[in-house]
This record gives sequence, structure tokens and C-alpha cells, in this order.
Amino acid sequence: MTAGPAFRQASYDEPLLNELEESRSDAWTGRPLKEFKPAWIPAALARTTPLTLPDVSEPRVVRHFTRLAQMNFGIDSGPYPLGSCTMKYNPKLNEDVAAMPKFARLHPGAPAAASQGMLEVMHRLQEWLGAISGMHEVTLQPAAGAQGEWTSMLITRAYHASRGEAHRTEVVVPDSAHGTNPASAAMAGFDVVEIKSKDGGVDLDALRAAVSRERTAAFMITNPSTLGLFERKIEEIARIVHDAGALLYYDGANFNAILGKTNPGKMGFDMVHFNLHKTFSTPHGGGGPGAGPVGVVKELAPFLPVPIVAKRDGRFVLDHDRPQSIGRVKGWWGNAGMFVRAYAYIRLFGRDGLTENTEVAVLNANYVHHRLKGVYTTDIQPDVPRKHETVLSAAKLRDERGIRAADIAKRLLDYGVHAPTVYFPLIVEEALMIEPTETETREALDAVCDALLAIAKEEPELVKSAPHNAAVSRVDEVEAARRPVLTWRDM
Amino acid sequence: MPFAANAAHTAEILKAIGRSSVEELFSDIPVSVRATLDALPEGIGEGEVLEEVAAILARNVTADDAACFLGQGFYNRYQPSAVRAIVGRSEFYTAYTPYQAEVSQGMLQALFEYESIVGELTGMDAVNTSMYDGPTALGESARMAMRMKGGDTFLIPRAISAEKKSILRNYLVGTPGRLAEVPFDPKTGQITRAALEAAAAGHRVFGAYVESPNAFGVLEDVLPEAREAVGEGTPLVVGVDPLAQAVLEPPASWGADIVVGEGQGIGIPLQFGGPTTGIFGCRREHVRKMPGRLIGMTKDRDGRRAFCMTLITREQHIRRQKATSNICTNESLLSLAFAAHAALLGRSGLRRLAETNMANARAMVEALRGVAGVRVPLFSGPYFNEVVAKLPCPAAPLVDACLEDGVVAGHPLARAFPEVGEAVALAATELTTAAGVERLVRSLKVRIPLAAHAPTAAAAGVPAKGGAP
Repeated sequence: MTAGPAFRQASYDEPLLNELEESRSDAWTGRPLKEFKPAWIPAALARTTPLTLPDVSEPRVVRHFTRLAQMNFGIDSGPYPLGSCTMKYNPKLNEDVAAMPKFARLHPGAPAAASQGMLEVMHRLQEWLGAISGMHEVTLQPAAGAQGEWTSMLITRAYHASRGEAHRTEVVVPDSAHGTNPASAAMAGFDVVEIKSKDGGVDLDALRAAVSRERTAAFMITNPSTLGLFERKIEEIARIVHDAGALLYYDGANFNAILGKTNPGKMGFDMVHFNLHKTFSTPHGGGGPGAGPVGVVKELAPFLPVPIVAKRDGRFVLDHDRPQSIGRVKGWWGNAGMFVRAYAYIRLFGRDGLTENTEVAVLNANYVHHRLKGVYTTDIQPDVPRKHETVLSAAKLRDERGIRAADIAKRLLDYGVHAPTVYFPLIVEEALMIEPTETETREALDAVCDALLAIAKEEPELVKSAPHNAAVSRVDEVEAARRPVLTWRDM
Repeated sequence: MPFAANAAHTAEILKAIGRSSVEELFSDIPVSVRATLDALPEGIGEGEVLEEVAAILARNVTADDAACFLGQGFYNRYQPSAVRAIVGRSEFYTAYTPYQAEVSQGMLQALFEYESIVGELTGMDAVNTSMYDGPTALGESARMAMRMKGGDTFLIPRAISAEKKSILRNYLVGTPGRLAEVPFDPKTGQITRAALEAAAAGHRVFGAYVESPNAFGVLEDVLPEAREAVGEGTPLVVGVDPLAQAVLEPPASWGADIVVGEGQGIGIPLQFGGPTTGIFGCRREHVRKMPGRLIGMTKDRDGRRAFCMTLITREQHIRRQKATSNICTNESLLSLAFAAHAALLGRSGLRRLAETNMANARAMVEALRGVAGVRVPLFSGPYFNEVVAKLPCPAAPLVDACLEDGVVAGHPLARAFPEVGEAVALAATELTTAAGVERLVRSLKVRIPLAAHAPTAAAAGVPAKGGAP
């Protein structure tokens, strides 16, 4: 290898916790108000199985996790153009807001008189999200985007049932949909009908053929699509769906592309979920937490989960008295830690800043699209502007040089760039789905593009054996699935 | 704007991509669907945001402001500074799901450790990295039980929260599954073997749930016999408090197939109810039917130990509508917090923390016995750190009144359990102080006589509708 990429990730042979040496006698557990008596635990229930977890000193535990952290790549480490995931830098301000003891130390069971401040934050956020989406009313309760989708499908069932149309048992999704869409519809008991895309968009003839007054409950789509293309015929789509008496659902995963430019209400949608952890700025936490609030049009509002935060006589209350509600989908009131972060984010940027963020996100995606499209290719509307992301194919490189999207993704890690989403959407072969977001500088975008272009010319063997600069070399996922070692007792 | 990185380079980038304006990039959005954000406020500075949020949140009465005796799954526990330092490493908290295992070994190993620790506490062979919370983990367990065994009835104890029942009903929408309640003994607050057997015999049961401690804080003595009572071949789901498991035998020993629980009590702040982590584990033979993300140990190309997500063909991004669950974004960071706190405590610390919680609850109960008209604990079953206190007056207004004395005097139960009448659930933790208990007792002694003449909730026409805690 000559000069090559400059990134080197830390690499420790850090033992597992259960392999660490015992190194302390005590941990702070509070001084009990009276002496513990073993007799308080019924003999039949008391633990006799030993607990394998060493007593390790605090500095060793902190070093353990610090080393693990150094073997982990986050958005603070480098570019993370993971398509459809909106991996943007989130203001550190958010973390300070969420750490405020006046929030972090508030018990969810506190009476309304003790939680007026938090209820006010939630009430304002409900109103703002309603305005942002063009929806009539918003619930903050769902814990994640997928739970928001499922909540919307439960609302869909309840709505049709209330009209004596429980026979509507099908939900239609395009073949480019996020996997959660069909999974959420199925989880709510619907049969999923998938329609083929045409030139990256909804095939209106296929949609017309798929929907019916007898069977169709809803059509779920995201706009812009997972290809990063805005669906121009959205109003016609809404007409087709509504003429069949079905509901139109907006997957809000791609909100980052439209904030301040259009909204789902204007487009004719009936329901929408938000990913507060994407556009509205909660760090992704290695997989979560998130929050998936849902907004709906007026006709669907009675079915929203309880409670909704309401304002009555100048006081904020948790309103449980909604007789047509589907009930609850999540414990307590939802992931409140995301509510305060989203509140801070919206407040910090305001209407103009949020709109500018959208513009730069789209500008950045188009820059990357433009720089790469000669080597990584697309035949789907190649000259139409992208929105938040672009999907390009490595099929040409596979055919000419024998390197696949998965190899390119692994090699990109060596450059200190997280891989794009690969092999999704399913309708593009050898897909690389790249979403740069508004928070990457041009310098960073150039680094991502330069790396991808360099990889296309590298020795195929070097690419196929990547990564070389990560904490470990290519991980054997097949073996992991064949003989699962799922806890340290399996070792 | 400080974060929209390329605002300064707009002209150059536009030139490079051959566009004349940013607006041109949005030219494909029809004019008829255009919308702006006029309804939102203008942006303000960071300092102003902090000031504004602090001013609004100042109206909250937190566990720092008043002696807090609230529980019901969420407990006022101490979060060590070291946990905050670990979770605050931005390599952890700004990462996405570890799809690229080679650059995500840190999170993967930490989550493998989380799975192992929960495996130690519950005896389960496979533990996923998280569900959204305890109640949704229970919802997923019912769906999994249905995948394991057909039928139409999921048995649940009457003595679980109304919130869990409502969530369970939603998780069973679109399936033949219905809920049937197993009553509690009004004296002990526990389900009995006879009641469990009777319920199991009366239906086509596809799963049975036992929770210990239950909504009354009571430990279920029936656990060692639950397997026999529900019958071989019927999935047994057990709900736990992970801290209590430090001193309790793992449910695996009682034949549990699935264990669920609320993970907040270890390492996770109250945060008005979320985010937290939902515990979900099962026996090895059921692993391919389980929901959620799993981390496994394997090797890299050079034979070094390595970790990766595994058995992913159960998940939505591969299996779509045939997935075992739709969950994608989960609560990984909170599972990391759980693992970090457990690591700092070690097995002795976990045990002592559990014992301290039990001891402080008993100190609270002894003090409350001195309050005229209060029956505590209302149920005679053994308890961990939470008990029910029967009151001689309406609970909700009493709790509001006690707030003025700097006390949050528990969680009213009348709406969820009308048969229990006016009562509160009160919890103690390692943060419960003698001064706090004294304040609770003093407040109740003053407020109860004042409230005793007010009508009860039922008499006042408050609907006994479920859902509200």
C-alpha cells in the first residue's frame, strides 16, 4: 500500500466485563435506613443461582468503556452518509437541555400540578409539529418511527371500523418502501400489497389497479422517495387513494428534504410520523433512542392514542377522556428526552434556519450526486435534482472490476468515512444510498467523493479484503449466525 | 447558521453542479403543494434557548424538589457520574445502528455485555439489545408467544398496570389473541395457583404472564409452580424488576420461556418516562421467533474476537412484512447505560443496592403505620420496594395537597383498580431519606383529616376508565 487513506481506528484486545479482575470491595449503594433481613425474601424465591459479574473498580470500568468508545465510529468521528438515516451533527446544546435536572429528575407519575413545565414543552411541540406537517393534531407517544407507523395503522383500522368498513384489510406499499412500512402494516393485522415502481416513482396504473373500495385501507409512501426523488404526481396519488375511500400515510423518515418547502398536509396526506431523532436532532445512540410522533387530519384525531397534552383554563393537562382513542402504544407519555431536544432544535433554528438547513441538505446531496454519477451510475432520472439523498449503483464496477457495493462500503471505512446504506432500496442493484445532510462541509463532501472515486480505481483485492484500518478486519457474520454466541455464558 | 455547513459555499457548489439557484433544486415540487414554516417562531441564540427552556421547566417539581415516593416501574434511583461520563462519550451516542461491524466494535461489545448481564439476572439464553420499554416488551412477548403456540387467549394478572393492559391490547390487534385476567387474592395481592389453573383451563391459552413484583409491589409466590399451573407447552412469560433480580432466583429456574421488564431502575434517569430500555430475553430454542436486535460474538478474518449483529433475518429490513417485529430504532444507548451502571456495581453492589431498596421500603412502611386511618401494606404478600397504602380519603386530591408540603405521596390506584378503592402505591429507593419519610408522615397526618370529609372519586363521578395512571 502506498500513501493510502490516513484514518486509523483504535484497536484494543479489551476483555469482556466478566473477564476483568476483581479489584474493589465496595460500590456506593446508599446507607440503608435500617438493617436488611434475609427473611424479607421468601425462601422459595431467593436467589441461589450465582450472579457472574465481577466487582471491578470504577477507574477500570471507565477505562473499559473508554476503550470501547474509541473503537466506535460516530458522527463526531467523521462523515456518516448513511442513506435514509439522516446522520447529521446534532447541536451539543440538545444534550445540555436534556441533562437539566428540572427535566431529567422529573418522575413521569408526577401529578399534573408538578409537571406543568414539561407539559408546556410537550404542548408547544405538538403545536409546532402540527404546523410543520400541516396536520390537525399530534401525539408524541410513539417511541420510534416504526412505532409511529404502527400507531397510524392502528388508527387506520379504528377509523375504517368506525365507518363500518372493517373489510378494508389491505395496505399498499411501493417496492421502494422502508422495510418498516410493510412490517408495521402487517403487525397491525393488514395484508400487504406491494406495487412496482416506474422510473423511481409510483406507477399510477399499478396504484389504480391495486386500490379498491372493497379491500384497501391505506397507501403508505415517503416523499421524497427512498431514491431521493420528489414524487411530482403526489396530488394525483392522493386523489386515487381518497377516491377509493382509503387513507394516505406519510413516512416522515425523509422530512429533512422538505422542511420549509412543502408539507404532507398540502400534499394530501392523512397521517404522518416524524423521526425526532433524524430531522429534529437527537443523536442516534448506536441504534436508539428515537421518538416517532404522529400527526393526523381532523377526521382521524379522535382515534389518536391517549393521553394528549391539552390546555384548559391556562393549565396543561394530560387528556385521557377521548372515547374513540385506540388507547396506549407506549409506557407513560413517550420518549420525553427527545421532546426537549426537538424543542431546543426548533427554537434554535426557527423558521428561517430550519428552511436553510433543508436547502443545504439538498444542495449537498446534489453535489455528491453530481460528483459521483459518472462512476457510480443511475438510469433513474439522472438529471433530475435529488432531494436529501441519492442512490447510485456499483453494478458497473461489479461487472468490470469484480468489486461489489459491500466491498466498497468496507473499503470506505478505511478512509475514515462511514459507509452509505447498501443494497437498499431493493429496486436498485448494488445500491449505494448516500445522504450527506446539511452538516457536512464541502471539504468533507469532497473527502467522501474522492474516497469513493479512488476506491473505484484501487486494486480489487485491496477493496475486497477491506477494511484494513478499522479496529478489526472483516467480521465473519456468517459464522455468527451459524453458531450463535449470544451471551458470555455461551463462550 | 452554525450547523448548515455549506451556506457559505452555496454559489460555488451551484456552479459546480450546473444549477443557477438553490430554488432550482426544488423546482420539481409543484407550486400547488408548496408550504413554508410561517407558523414557527424565529430562531434565537443558544444562550436564549437554555434560558427559555430553563424558565419553562422551572415549574416542574422534580425528585430533587420534593420527597418522591413514586414508582410503578420507574424509580428515583441514583445515576453515578461515571455512567453519565460513559454514555456521554460521543463515539457512542452519535453513532448509528452498528451495521458496519468493523468500525462499531465498541458499541457491539458493550451491547453484548448488556445482553450477558441481563442473561445473568434473568437466566435467559438470548437477550435482545432493547425494546422501547417494559410495557412494549410485554406487548412483543404476547406476539411472540402466539408465534410459539396457537390459541386465542393470553393470560395476564389483574394486578398489572392499566397502561400495560391497554398496550397489550394494541399489540394483539389483528391477531385472534384476547386478554383474560387472573384475579388477585384480596388479602395477599397475589395470584394463586388455583386461580392460574382455573384461568388456564377455561381458554385456548397461547401464553401466560406472571409479574413479580406486580403492580402492588408484591412478589408472586406462585412462580415456582407457574410452569405446572399453566401446563407444559404453553409459553410462560415472566415480568421482572431487574434490580430485584439481584436477590431473586432467575425466572429461567421456574421454567420461564420469555422474560420482560422495565430497565429504567439501573443507570437510567427518570426523564419524565423516557427514553428507557425494555428488557426482553428468551430461551435458546425460541431465539428465531424473538423480536429485536441481537449481538453475537464471532471472529474477524484474522481470527481475532469480534462482535456483530446476528440472526438479522428475523428483522424488518430483511424480512419486511414477515419480520418478527417492525422495531428498527430501539433504545441501545439506554442499554449501554444499564450495562455501565451494572458494571460499576458488580454483583456485590447490585445485591446491596437491592437490599438497601428493600430496607428503606420497610423503614417507610413502619413510619406510615403511625398515620391514623392508613393501612399499609394493604396486601400481606412479600414485597420488594413498593407497597399499597389504603387511605381513608380520596387519593388524588390528597396527593395534590401533599405536594404543597414538598412530598409526592405516591401513585393513586383507584382508576386502575376500583376494587382496591382509595389507595396509593408508594415506593422507596436508596435515595429515600429519613427526613423525606418524616416529611411524608407529617404531611399525611395533617392532610388526611382535612380531606377525610371530601367525597370519594367514585361518588364524585370520576370515570373509572383504564389507561390513566
